[in-house]
Amino acid sequence: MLNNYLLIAFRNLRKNSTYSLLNILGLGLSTACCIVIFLMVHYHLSFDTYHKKADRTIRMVTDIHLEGVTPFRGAPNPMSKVLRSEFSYIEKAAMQATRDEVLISVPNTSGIPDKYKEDLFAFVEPELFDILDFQVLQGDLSALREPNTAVLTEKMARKYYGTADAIGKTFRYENKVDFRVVGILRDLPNNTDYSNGILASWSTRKSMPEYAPYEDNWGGINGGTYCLATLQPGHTMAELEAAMPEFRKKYRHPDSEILFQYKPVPLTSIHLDSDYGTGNMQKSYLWALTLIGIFLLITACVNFINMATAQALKRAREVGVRKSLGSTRGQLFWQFMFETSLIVLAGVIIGIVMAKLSLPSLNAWTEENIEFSGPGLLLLAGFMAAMSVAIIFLAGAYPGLVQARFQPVDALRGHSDQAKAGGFSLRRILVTTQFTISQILIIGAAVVTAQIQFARDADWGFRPGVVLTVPVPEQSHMKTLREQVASISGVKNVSLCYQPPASSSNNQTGVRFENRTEGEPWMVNNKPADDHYLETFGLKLVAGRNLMPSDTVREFLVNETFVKKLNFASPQEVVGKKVDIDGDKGTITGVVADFHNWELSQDISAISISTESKAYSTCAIELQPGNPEPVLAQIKKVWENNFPEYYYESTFMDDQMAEFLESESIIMHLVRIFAGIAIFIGCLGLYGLASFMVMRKTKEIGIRKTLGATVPGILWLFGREYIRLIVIAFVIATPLAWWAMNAWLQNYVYRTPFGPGIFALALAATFVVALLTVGFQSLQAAVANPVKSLKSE
Amino acid sequence: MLELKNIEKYYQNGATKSYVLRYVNAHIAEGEFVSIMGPSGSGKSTLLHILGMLDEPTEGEYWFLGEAVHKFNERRRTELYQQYIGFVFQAYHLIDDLTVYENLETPLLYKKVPSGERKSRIADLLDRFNMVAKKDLFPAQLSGGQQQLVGIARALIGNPKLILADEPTGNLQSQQAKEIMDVFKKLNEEDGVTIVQVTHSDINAQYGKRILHLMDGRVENEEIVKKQSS
Repeated sequence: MLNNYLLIAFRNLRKNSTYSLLNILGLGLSTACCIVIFLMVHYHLSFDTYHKKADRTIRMVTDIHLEGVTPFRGAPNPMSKVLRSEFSYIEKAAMQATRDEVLISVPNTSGIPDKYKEDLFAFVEPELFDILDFQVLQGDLSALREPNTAVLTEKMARKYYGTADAIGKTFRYENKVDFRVVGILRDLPNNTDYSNGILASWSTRKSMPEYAPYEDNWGGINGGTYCLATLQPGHTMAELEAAMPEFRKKYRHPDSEILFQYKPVPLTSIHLDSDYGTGNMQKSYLWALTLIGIFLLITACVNFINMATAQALKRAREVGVRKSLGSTRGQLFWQFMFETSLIVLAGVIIGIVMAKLSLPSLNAWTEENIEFSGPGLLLLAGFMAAMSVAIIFLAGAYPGLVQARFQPVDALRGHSDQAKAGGFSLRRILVTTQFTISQILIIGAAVVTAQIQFARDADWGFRPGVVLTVPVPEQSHMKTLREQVASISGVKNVSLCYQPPASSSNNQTGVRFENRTEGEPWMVNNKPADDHYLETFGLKLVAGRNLMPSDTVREFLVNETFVKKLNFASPQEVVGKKVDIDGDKGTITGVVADFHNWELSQDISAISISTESKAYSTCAIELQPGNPEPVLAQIKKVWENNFPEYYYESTFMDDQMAEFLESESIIMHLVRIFAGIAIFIGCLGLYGLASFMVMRKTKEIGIRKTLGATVPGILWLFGREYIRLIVIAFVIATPLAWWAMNAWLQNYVYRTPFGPGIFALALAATFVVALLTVGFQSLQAAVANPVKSLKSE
Repeated sequence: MLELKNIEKYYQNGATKSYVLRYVNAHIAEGEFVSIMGPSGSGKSTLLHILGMLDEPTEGEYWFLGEAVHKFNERRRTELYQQYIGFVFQAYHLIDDLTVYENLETPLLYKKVPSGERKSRIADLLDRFNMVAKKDLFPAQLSGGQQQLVGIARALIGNPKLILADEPTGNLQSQQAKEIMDVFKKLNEEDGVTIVQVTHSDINAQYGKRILHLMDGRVENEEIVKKQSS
């Protein structure tokens, strides 16, 4: 019997090869997308779950109470020490302080050391190795208690020394401190945000002059300095949280007891939490992807049901014959289920292959390391098995039941009841569902695109012309550098500063205005920069004058937000007033127009600009229009003459600003691509459906033509139906999409306005899609010779 | 062999009933060859479908080999049907996607006949109808007459006691039609198979021993065929 089913299934697939291909490819494509989405979501949810003690490990974070509450992911340096002594149920506690853009020099035989810029560098307390899971390949981690020791991952060891066997080798940190390698770790898994490749001993840090004074300081926190702690089994995070109000009285911020309020969060929350974690992935995107995945599955199922019921009509006669040959209803049902299973299986296999093939390029593009293996694979296999069974039953059972129920006599006569063969109302529901999904996705994709474009075109409040930034590693030569660079022809302006106007590292500090006794209840972002800063970056002065050249702080420029926060009506009113910012007293000489000092998605802070030359670490160079290449080469030469010990790096300002948008836009692109695929698969289904409708109406068309119907008249026969369904779908889709996209846009402070235009676009796009998929076949049917179509009955 | 008592078939259409069959009573004995005749719309085919259990009467009793078919559920009707009845259609109704051999095999698969027996039965029939060479062809590759021969062979494959034929020669030319009718006659006379056919053709009706004339859903009269055509 199975043989017979198999034969008929294969011959049927071959005979209706267009249908079969559309069906299998559509299913394959949606399966591939579902697999990829599943892997991505699973990957991002799996971050740091692999640590054995993950479920009872916490990270201490800080709420900064100023004006409102600002969540912050760091904790003060003495936190781990105090946790260990204060709470008996803390099994282990450790600090980890990550440093960005660290200069590492590795001695080699040539005498001039190799230089590297590293982002994955951290000072750690040795207890960290008892909290997180690291695999030690070589060496003794207890040596990490001593100063000037470090542990490397295999990958870093190979990078520096060409071999993983690097115990005892040395490297130099920031041209200041030497480290000896005492241990080698197996490379870390991809799914961790504790991904440092160089772990240096905390005891070294204690003796470094820039850190030593703050070792026991409760007055400062740094976004890269985490405190991790493992609780003893049986104790909960809530216990620790409950103890915090008492705790912060005892270990208070020097200025205010309520300023820093600590609280524990789960270790694993780091990846998805943009308040207290790295927020490397936003939950809203995972939701969006999951939703699209579900939409894809629904679309695939709807397609399947549509196509299969359409086929059912063609096969009504076969069903009748089989019944007249003694087949039971059950046997017929299982025959059709068997055929469905075959198609689903073929689709799923194609989907797996496509997913596997697409993963490497997806990884390269998103800069992630999602693997088609490992523990996720078992889950994936389960997911796919469940998915296949779901599709088989959802998509196969319905047509199977319908077909098995055909009255043999009716079926033989070839006019099986339309209502029974996937009744028109069910068909309408399915198509409306599909149109609804398509329109939601089109609206979603359009809003996402608009937001990307909006961010790209946004006014940052300053002119990011051709500005190049290079680091200033040492204060001693910075003036020489400035003069020499300024004298290069092709250079328009040069400014020494701490950071460009928009930056991910900014200093926030307190401010006291005039003779007020209290500090203001908000923080100011102080931007150390020289008198060329405004010119170089094209910042606009709205009141007063620019800073005078100076090496110390005597004057301040502030921005409009600063003025607003002081409750002054016009910028003029603050000019000439005295302020005390971070202990530096001076006069406000001018007010600059507001500009974005963080990424676009964040609010503009109150800003002060002052000539605090000891904080300068960047040299910003504005180039004349024209070919930059020779100028760049000269700048590099000048820089290397001044800083032979250091690693030269230059960044164009607009690249840097693009980088602010990049991680967002990659995932947005992904959302758009998947949405596009879902719409495309929906089109495949519509195409199949259209041919079904054409087939169903062949006789009607023939009769109408013999009665004198025109071609447009017949096209309208099809069009009317689809237009009605599209409009119904639009009515359903619009509020859903509006609600969802509005919720998504709440993530952004500066969001694209979206109004009727986008909805009209979705409606128009759906019409075009329907026209393309349905129009051609309808036209074919409309122009066909009526004699032929009547004969086919 | 079978008996119909007051069989009625109608479609309820709002308040009106449109009758297809009214008070049909008939008795067909084993070994008979009965023709059903009547103008279009007189209910011949519906009557045949009811006899073949492909359709159900709205009212009335249907007794088959002493069993009350009208009380059976679908499963039991299918069992009875599998065991005793073969159907031949005007439009042949072979499964297009199966070869001659596979078409013949399908009813045996539904009856769960073991593979060895299936092979020998199909081989016998192919032999008997001189179609051995055509066993791997698809229906579309055969002429109408040949297709109908396969249709008859398929109806016979389960060794039925009753063959129901719905205008078996309706789509055929006269020479082919004659050959097909001869096959039926031979089956009836030599193998003792009971045959009920629906036909428009007086010539074909003469092959049977008895003719039921239907008019507007009623049996108008019964005619005993006296002279048989040669």
